[in-house]
Amino acid sequence: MAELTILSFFVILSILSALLVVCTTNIVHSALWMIVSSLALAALFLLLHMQFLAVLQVIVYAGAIMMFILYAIMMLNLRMSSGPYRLWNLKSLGVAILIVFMGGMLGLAELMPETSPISGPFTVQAMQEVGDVGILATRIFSDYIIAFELVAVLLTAGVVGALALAKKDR
Amino acid sequence: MEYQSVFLGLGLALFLIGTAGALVRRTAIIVFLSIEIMLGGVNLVFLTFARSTQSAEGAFMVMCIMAVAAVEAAVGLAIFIRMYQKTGSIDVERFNLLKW
Repeated sequence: MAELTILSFFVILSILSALLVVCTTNIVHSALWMIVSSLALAALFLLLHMQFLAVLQVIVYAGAIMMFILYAIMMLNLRMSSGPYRLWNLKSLGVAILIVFMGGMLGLAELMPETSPISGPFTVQAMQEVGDVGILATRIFSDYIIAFELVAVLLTAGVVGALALAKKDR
Repeated sequence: MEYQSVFLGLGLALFLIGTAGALVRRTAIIVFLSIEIMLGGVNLVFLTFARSTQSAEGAFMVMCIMAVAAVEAAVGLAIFIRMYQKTGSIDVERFNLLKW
């Protein structure tokens, strides 16, 4: 019961803050609501028993990315955003699409098995012995080593690209 | 796993909110934030399935998506600064360099 209360609180918080990010006209408020949204998402990751990824979500999204965004807003001296497109007459169509998508996804979810298999790496025993950081780390440095190295290459390329873009024309 | 539908539905709702924001708003930073919301919804769905099938693939995928989001933020902000220098605003409508 307590879990359900916590879950519904964070679900509502996450949806509300996401809506406020999209709907506020003040860009700074929008960025601040995005921080609330990432924190709510981190709490949901915790409810899924993914502690390491919840910590990563807080550090990377609520810490690094949002700090970048706030810096950009300050540097560009933005306050109010330009208004939305006149697309709101498509609202009813959007609601219909949303309902169909939701129904389809929830139907899909019902088809999934209720109990999880014991064969995967995230067993209760492994979680108690090494934790999810340990489970993920052994995978990252053995099975997914190529993908991990490629992510490192991507990060380097991104830094170089950002520097090259932000430099003034000569 | 219990409450799986709730997590999947929330992931879907976040993705749709993000899509609406990216299509409707004109400020480049808000479009960027909407894309981040979409990525958050996708992350949630990945983790829900990783949890319910007890596999590590979904969790690793989420880490990759976070890295891509960080790179996207760095490159995106550099693009915003260039955009502001060229056009004096970050309205995506004003950024029509490739339009003829």
